[in-house]
Amino acid sequence: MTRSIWKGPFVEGHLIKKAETVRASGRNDMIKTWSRRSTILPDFVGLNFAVYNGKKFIPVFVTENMIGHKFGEFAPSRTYFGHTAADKKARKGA
Amino acid sequence: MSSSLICVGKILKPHGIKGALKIQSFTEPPMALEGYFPLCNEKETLTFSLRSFCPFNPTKEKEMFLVSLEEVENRTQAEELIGLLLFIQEEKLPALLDEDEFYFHNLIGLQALSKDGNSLGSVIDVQDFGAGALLAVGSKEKSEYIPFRKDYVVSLDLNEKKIVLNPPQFFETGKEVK
Repeated sequence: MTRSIWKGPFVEGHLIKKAETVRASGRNDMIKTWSRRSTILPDFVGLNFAVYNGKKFIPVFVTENMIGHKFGEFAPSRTYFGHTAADKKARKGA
Repeated sequence: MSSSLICVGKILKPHGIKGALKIQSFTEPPMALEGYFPLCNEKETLTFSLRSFCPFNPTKEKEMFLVSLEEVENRTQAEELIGLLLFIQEEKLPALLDEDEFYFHNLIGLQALSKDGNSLGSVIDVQDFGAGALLAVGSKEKSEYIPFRKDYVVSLDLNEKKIVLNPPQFFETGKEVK
């Protein structure tokens, strides 16, 4: 069953506080979080998070496309032992 | 293995009695493998030209293809190729669009240095979990992910196999934002 709209998206309160602190400071600090269940809000766009996957912190730079998804979706907790795509490209983001 | 060879697929098993093969693609998208033929083996002693190429099970196994090769006429010949990795010359990969774009395999193995010149280990892997490319820097036993972004990558020299990084603060100090 989907979450009721009247409740709004779930976000841990302390995560919102940390995001506000970093935004107010104007620095580009990475925000450590263990809250994989928190929804990515529009306020988080442009901030750097480090999401815990049970073993280490995975850097997540929030972009507009991620709004509405959970932080945990971008920090997999299981190791993929398959073959990396041979022709996969990485672009140095801004 | 020659450094200019890139692994793009693997022969899994024969299919039927006419020499058809089930092949796993390591390209993105998987269907792009068709455009890379002819392929060769690791030592470049065998070359495989394409006769026919079709998806094996498009709904469940998107990386698998049923392939007929000019050099394989029957099942006996096909059985000899089980487990064989298929390669192409690096030059056959599509050209990169600009100087900020890199192939994952070019980044792996680079020596990582901090801005001060201290060694951070090497780039042991490159991953993309949906939030941009991440460089796994360190050793095989212990590594940390550093975003492949201009804020964290100071300079990159593929000829000298060196990358200068500016790791996120907490990776070094352990401090977090309060």
